[in-house]
Amino acid sequence: MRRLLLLAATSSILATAHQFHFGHIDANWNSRAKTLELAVRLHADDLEQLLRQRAGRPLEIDRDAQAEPLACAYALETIAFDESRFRCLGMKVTTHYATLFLEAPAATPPRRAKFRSFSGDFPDQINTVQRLTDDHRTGSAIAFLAADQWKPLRP
Amino acid sequence: MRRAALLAPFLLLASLAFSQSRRSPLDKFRQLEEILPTPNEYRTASGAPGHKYWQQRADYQISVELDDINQRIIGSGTIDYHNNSPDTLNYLWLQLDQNIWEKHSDTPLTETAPDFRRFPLPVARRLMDDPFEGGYTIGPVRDAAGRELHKHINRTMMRVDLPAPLPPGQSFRFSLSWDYKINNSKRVSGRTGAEFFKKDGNWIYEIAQWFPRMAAYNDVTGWQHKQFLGTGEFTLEFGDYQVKITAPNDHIVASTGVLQNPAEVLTPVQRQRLERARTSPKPVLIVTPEEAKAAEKSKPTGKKTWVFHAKNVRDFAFASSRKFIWDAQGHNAGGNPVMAMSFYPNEGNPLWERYSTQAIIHTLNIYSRYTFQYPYPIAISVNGPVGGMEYPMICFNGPRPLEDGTYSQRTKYALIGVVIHEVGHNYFPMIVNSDERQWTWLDEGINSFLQFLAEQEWEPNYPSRRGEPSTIVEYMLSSAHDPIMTNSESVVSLGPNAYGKPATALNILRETVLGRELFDFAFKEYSRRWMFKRPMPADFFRSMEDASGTDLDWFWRGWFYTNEHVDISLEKLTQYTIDTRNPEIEKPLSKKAKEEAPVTLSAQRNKPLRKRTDDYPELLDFYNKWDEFAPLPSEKKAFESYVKGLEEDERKLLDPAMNFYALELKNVGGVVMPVILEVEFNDGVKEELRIPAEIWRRQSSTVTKLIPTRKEIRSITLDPHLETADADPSNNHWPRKPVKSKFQLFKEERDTKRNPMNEGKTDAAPPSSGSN
Repeated sequence: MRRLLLLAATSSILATAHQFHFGHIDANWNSRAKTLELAVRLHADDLEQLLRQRAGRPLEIDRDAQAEPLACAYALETIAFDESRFRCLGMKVTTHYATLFLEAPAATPPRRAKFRSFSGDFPDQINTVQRLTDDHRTGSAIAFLAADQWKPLRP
Repeated sequence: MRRAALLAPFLLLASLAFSQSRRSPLDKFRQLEEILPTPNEYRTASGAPGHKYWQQRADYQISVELDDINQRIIGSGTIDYHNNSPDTLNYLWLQLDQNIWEKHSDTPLTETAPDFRRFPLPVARRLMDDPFEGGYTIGPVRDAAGRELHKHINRTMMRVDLPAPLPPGQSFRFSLSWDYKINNSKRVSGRTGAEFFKKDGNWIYEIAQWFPRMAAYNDVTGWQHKQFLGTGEFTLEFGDYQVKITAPNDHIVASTGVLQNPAEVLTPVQRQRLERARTSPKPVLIVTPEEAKAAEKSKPTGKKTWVFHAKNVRDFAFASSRKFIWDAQGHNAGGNPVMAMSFYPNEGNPLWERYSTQAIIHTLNIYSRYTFQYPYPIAISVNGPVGGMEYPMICFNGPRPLEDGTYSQRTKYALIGVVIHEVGHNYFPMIVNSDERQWTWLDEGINSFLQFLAEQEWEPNYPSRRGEPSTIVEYMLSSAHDPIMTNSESVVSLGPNAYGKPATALNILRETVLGRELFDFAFKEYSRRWMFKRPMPADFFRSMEDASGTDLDWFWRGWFYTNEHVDISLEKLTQYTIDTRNPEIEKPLSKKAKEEAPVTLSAQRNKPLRKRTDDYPELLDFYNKWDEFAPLPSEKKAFESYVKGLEEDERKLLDPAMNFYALELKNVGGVVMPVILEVEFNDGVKEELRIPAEIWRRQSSTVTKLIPTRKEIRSITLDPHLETADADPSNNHWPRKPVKSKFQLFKEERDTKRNPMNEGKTDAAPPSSGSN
């Protein structure tokens, strides 16, 4: 038997009028530095709602010092590549998007990934991972639907 | 670059044509007739309503009471249903949207499991603790004579059986009553609801989908009674509404329609201010922040009934609260006087008083330019619990500043953007009345496109979320993304699919494929044709082609019917020059080519070695001295003979200065698109070459484009203005150029600027406890 962790979240029985619900990672394996570099792009509205619930106050992600550590923690919770141990380098927020930058040592390109940001909150969430090696695309983007867990990154 | 000589210019063209002669198994230019419905007398092949086009009509007279103590709606009304169809009807269908919150609603039943590692509280509350039990209680349905009619409720739909078949051209009057519990938006959010403010004990109500509404009956779907699951919005009939709204007497009510009894519900001062607002160059406060603050502390001493009339609308919504500040400004919409108004609590300021009404008027100006003049007398924006939702003449918009009155740049643009978007919905789908239950994109996508145009005229470099091609690339790259032509309830990730992708598609159609003049004419034609009518996707596709004079089937196919993406790669550039056969020209060129050829490593190392012929020069003969690049008399004679055999115009083609570049293009993404090239020549001059998408019509995977020029090409850039949503910039350059990744750029720009408004204010720190 597993135990449920109850978390305040943004989901509702009825979808709001303007949904975003799309996340994307550029996952670059840097062959020289032997690192895996992730640029994780999430919709700022989705992320802000979630961080407000977590902070328990009306936080604004583009001008609140707590936003970045909270967002980094959330990214590290919901994103995994093999057994990589990521370090969050920071977050860049524009008017509509929040991009988180994660880095981990990686001797070889990643074999599998899990990208579940907002997957438990929005049933129509799509997340995608674009694989790159030394900033060159390798194959098409891998899509993660709400129910998807680990998926292979190599054919 | 590879240099190759040509035997004759004609051969080159022939060889290129040959290389493109293989057909792709899937013709991306195949006409859409096999997919689109067959035109008929209701909907023509040109995309216009046919000469026998018809639509139903429903007129409503409703009395409703807002119960502020128990948060309930209690309503009763009469509906006059007009059967303008050629069909006889035995029953009518009505929409019962509130039943989405009924105990046994399909919506929670069809929900999939949440992430059990992070179990959301609202889900837990709904499943285990205190589920919200909304949904209609419907009283007897009676005909005009008071006889009760049989009704059957099928979840979010209700069928009313007619006492006798309703023939074409006849009307039927019936009445009914209903009531329901209003959802508390903090616990169950939606497109309607109530918001409670703990600190003053007051509510803001945004009331929509609050009465049984006639389902649409039309020539394409018959009755549109697809169940409401929460995503696909509404399909409704036009009609006139007379609505009496009874609310606590200290409430301000904002509503669809024109207020009929201002003397009974407004104070003399409020009426005076409203009159002044009609001609004011800026918004006038009808209820001031101080008055709204004072009202928050008041208790109602009774009730007031506000009477509104709305002509030719497809729906009716209202908002009510004692917390409302109210501002208004009259606006002349092409000869039609419109009152633009905003209703918001003090919590909405300073954002709302500055931007809401301004954004309403801006929207009317811009949207009217691209479509038709705004025909209604009212346009309202309300701040309350709903994040963004549209109804005729009124919309609900959520963004607010923090409690300390500061707001981020994101919040500011979120408000302006959502007001533009929701007010813009008056045009699509409130007036151009598309079927939202079936096709979300046909209103949301078109509206998001117009929102982009309006935002770009708000201020320089407005940060629009949608519209620019680059904003949709990541979504389109996903193999899991749905074609735009997917039913509203089935779409995964509705925002990018039904809002973002069509907005970008239309922007590309306007800027890159058709050009602004052709697009704007065609788009306006579509809007006017279907104003106060119900278009389907085919009517849009056909109207745009009909009025622009352009076959766009390839575009609709690629962007609306597939989930392919755009990625064109510059694969290879080969340079060809004319072989003039003139030895005086060709021999020196050959000599130059030999001299410029790379010298092998062995040759370089062997060069300084002393050779035997240095010691024995007698070993050198004719062949050691012969200049192989000197024209021979026989070669000169042969050339003269060749030239004599040519016609005058053929001789002109023997121009040694001409270069022919064969540029190989590969369609990696699948969607065929125009090829936009910026060609830079060796002298530094740049020229743009805009090649229509039809270059792909015979072979959609690889084509070779010939570029004839007297200059030599230094570099080529594909999609230099980022106008085609090309997914991979790394293959857009010849020669290849490294493109910096987001990760590299971030590392270079570590010190991201913070919000300057926040930095500039010493008291801008966000509060540590929650509001409301």
